[in-house]
Formats: sequence, C-alpha cells, structure tokens
Amino acid sequence: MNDASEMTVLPGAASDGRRTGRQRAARGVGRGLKRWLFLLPALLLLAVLVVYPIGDAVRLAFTSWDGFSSPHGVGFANFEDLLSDKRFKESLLHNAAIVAAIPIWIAVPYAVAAGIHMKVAGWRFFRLAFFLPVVLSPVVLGAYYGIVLAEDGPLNSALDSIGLDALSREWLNDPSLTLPVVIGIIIWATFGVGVLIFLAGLSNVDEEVVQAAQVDGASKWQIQRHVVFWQLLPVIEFWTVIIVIASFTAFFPLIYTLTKGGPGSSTFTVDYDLYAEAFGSGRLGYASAIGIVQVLIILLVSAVFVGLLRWRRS
Amino acid sequence: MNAAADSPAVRPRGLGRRAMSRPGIGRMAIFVVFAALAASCIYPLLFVASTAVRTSADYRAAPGALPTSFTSENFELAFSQMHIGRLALNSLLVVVPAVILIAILACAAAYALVHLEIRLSRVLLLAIVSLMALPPTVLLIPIFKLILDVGLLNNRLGLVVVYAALNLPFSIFLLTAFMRSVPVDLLRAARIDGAGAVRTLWSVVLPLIKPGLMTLVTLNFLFLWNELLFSLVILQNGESRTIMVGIAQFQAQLNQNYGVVAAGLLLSMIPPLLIFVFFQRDLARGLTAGATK
Repeated sequence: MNDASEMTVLPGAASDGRRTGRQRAARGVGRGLKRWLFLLPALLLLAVLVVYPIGDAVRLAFTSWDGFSSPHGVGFANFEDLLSDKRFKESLLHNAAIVAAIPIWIAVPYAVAAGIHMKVAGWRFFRLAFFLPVVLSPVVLGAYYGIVLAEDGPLNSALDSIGLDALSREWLNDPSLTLPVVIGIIIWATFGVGVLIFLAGLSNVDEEVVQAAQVDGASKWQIQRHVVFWQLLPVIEFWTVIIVIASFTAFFPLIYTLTKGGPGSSTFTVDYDLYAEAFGSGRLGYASAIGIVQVLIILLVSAVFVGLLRWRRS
Repeated sequence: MNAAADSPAVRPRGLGRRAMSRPGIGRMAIFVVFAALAASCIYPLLFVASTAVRTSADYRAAPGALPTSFTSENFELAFSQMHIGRLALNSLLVVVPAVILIAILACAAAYALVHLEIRLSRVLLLAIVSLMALPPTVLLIPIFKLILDVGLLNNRLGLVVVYAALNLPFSIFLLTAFMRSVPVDLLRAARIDGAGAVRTLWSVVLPLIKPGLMTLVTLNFLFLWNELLFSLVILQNGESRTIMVGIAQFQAQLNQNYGVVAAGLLLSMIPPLLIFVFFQRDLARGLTAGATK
C-alpha cells in the first residue's frame, strides 16, 4: 500500500490545499452556504437518480411488479423463487465460468503491457492498435462478430479456403462453444484498457530497485516475478476489481446483439437474465431481486480476489 | 521472457543485457503474437468498411476477401431503411446535453470538494467515489420506475438526466485529481485580487485543468454514444431511439443483408473513431486515472 500512496496524483498538493483552504476560509472567502451551491446540484442529482434508486431496488425486490399496475409486496417470495429458477441458476453458472476466466483476463493485458514496456519492435503501433476495440460499442462488436462468426461467414470460409475446414464450427449456435466465444470476445474487447492501466503501473515501477536486482544477478524473469509484480500489485488489484464488476455487468450489450442468450439459454448471464425477466417477461420485482443478488455476489467475488492477491503477498 | 535465465552470474554487471542472441528470439515471438493480436483489432474496421461498399453477391462469393464490385446501395438503404441519420441525430440530442451537464456539475462539485473548505469533503468524496463500484444493472429497474413515475419515459430529458447521474461519480473523481494539481497560491492570488469563487473557477481554475476537462468530455461522449441498456429501456419508441439501440434491433431483424448492417455500423463508428484519432491521449489519461490512485 506504500507504493499506492506514492503513486497518488500529487499528494503533497492535496494536503497543501487543505491547509491553506482553512486559512482562506478564515479570511472569509467563499463563505457559508454559497460554497455548497457548487456541490449541491451534483449531490441532488446523485441522491435522486442513484442513491434513492439503490434503496428502491431493495424495496422492489420484495414486490411483484409488472410495470403497469403498482408494485405489491410479496415478502421473500422472489428470493425463494430464485432458488428454484433454472435459468437463473444457469446464468449464475455461466457467470462462474466467466469469473474462472478472470486470471486470463488479468494475465493477457499484463503480459501485453510488459511486452510493450520492453519496447518490442513497433510497440507504438501495437499500443494504438490494441486500443481500437476499446472505443467501439459492444453493440458494434456484437453485430460485427455476428456476421464474422456466422455459419457461412468469413471465418469459416477462410478456414475452408486454407484447408482447415475441420476447424470450422457453428460458433454462435453450439451450446458448448458459444459461451467461451462470448467470453473470448469480451476479454479481447477490454484488454486494451488493461494494457493502458498496466503500462501506467509499469512506468511507475521503481527503476532503482530493478537495477539493484540486475546488479545482484537476478534474471529478467526473476525480476518480473519478485520485483515488478509486487510493485504492480495495487494496479493488479485495481484491474481485478474492475473486471470482477465487468464480469457481471459488461456482457449485456454484447449478448443482446450477438446471441440473445442463445442457443437455448446457453449464454444467459445474470445481467442479461435481469433484463430478460424485467423487459421480456414483465417481472420487474423479480428482476430487482436478481439485481440485489448480483450486487451481493459481486461484493463477495471482489473480496475473494483482493483477499487472494493480498494473501499471496504475505 | 526468461531467455536470459541461465548463467546470470557470468554476465557483466549492468552491461550487455541485450547483447545475447536468445532474447532476440523471445522478442521475435512477442512481435509475432502482437502482430496477430493487432490484426484482430484492426480487422473489424477493414471488414465493416469493405462489406459496406460491396454488393451482397460479391460478399457471398468471398466474405473475408477484398471487394471486387462496388456499390453505394448499402449506404442508401442504411439511410432509408435503417434511418441511420435519424438515429445518429437522436443520439446526439441525448449525448451532447448529457455531456455538457456532466461537465458543468462535475466541475463545480470537484472544485467545491477540493478548493472550497467544505466540512466533510473527504467523506463526501469517498461516498461519491464508492458509487462508481455500483453495477448499473441494479439501478435499471428502480431508475425505470422513477422515470416512468415522473412521466419522462420516452422523453429525451429522462435519458439525459439518467446518463448524467450515472456518469457523475467517475467524472467528479477524475476532476478532483486535476483540481488538486492547481497551485493553491494562484487561487489565493485571485482571491486577493478580489475574485469570487465563481470568477476564480472560471478564469483561473478552468484554464489550468483544460486537459482534465478534455478527458472528461471525450470519455463521457464515448461512453454515452456507445451505451445500450438504459437507452433501450428509457427511450422505447421508434421516434427517439438512439443509434446503438437502432443498430441492435435492426441487425436482429434484417437477416443476411450484411451490407446494410455494415454500412450502418461504419457510420456509427465515425464519432468513436474521430475520438480515437484525435483524443487518444485524453482517453488514455481518463481510463488510467484510477490505476495510480
């Protein structure tokens, strides 16, 4: 954590600002309620459209609501129903598979950033290219992959034309294959952000420590493993929390455009299930219960991953 | 990467780390993998562009190859059937006001939190930042209900305020980092010269945090232009539908007419690509802002 605080943006300026701020207040500038006027509009908007809805999400989770009539309380019925909901359990299982892929989701951008940091030939171009999918909407990527991975699409016809037709598949219509394809696409679509974050971390690694390790005769691998890795840990933690959240929330737009949860329900994820229950089946109270369970699971999984990373350090 | 793992002890200290031949092979391997990965990142653009300008017969003959017969029909159909122009305008009518609203609110809030001595400013900032970890899907139902109850369903204003609220926590967080880099002496000087808080923000602080503001605006524009979920739920009628919703629904309906979909995709990619080309540095700055915290 020491490394983390050293990397904070100008920590000195921050504490400085606080001290002189007090003096300024003593001099009577920006007095009283007027200062709050700067903050109030933002706080008001957040209160009405974020904080109040959090509470309302909890309340609605205990109701039955079809979106037309007013919601009426049903106690824990929604949560009891969740326990026996086959599609929800399947969605959870798919999210578990996504969570299981998180180590890859961490390792790929880390390794790529390390390669760019080594200034491999053409690194400037690569850094640019890897960022391209990041700026595109998941809707665009979903539509693109829908075309490219179609049965008679470019991928299969390319495989055919180079004699690898044995490898061509129904990428989007094979219950055992489509989920891995979707996970692969999400990792591919987001790794560019990870690369940037790890590059920022790598440029903050204390070069003196690395040089000292070199002088002591450590190999490149040993330096990566024992010096750079530990210094990067706060960044790795940060990225991990981001993708734990993403693994439960980032799939909706891609699945909505690419598979609609199919074939069957083989690519249903919790976030897609929530949408489908609410706006497909008109069970908005039930969907709210899914949302609450989703938040609890995200908290739990984040805690487990951060715990694992910290535990490995000691 | 571990090509130099053996015989580290014989290596002269701090010298000739790259002089050995084997790391060269490692670098070659990395280069090859990177080249393949880069190709997968650039191909979507090439594929969409080439599919958009070719006839569907030409596409069917060799989907992955370069086009041989060209047509502008796909673009005409994208405008007449997909109403891509209308969709893009609808998106702009939501995204631009939302981005402006976010910029104003976040600037004022970050300024107050960092530079105006506000009681509990640290706690407030922490509370705002912790909202960033909230998965937006959990807010979907209650926000839908709220918008429905106040009669803003299918009203652009509804989506504008929802977008603004959802992106405020990150935006405030981002701007506080830039606010902290403003020298306090400058603010004090402005005060001594008789400038009030608003004046100081406008003519001293804003010019200094221009890079932060650019980052904020480009990032929010990109997020919101690309957003699907809340737009899908709040603007449900065809009249005000935004571009990503329009594309998602159109590509699901129109079986096999890839050329038109590709033309629509290509047009929808123009704003993100412009941002990519001209504001890449601002984007990168924003996306890594949290990492060094």
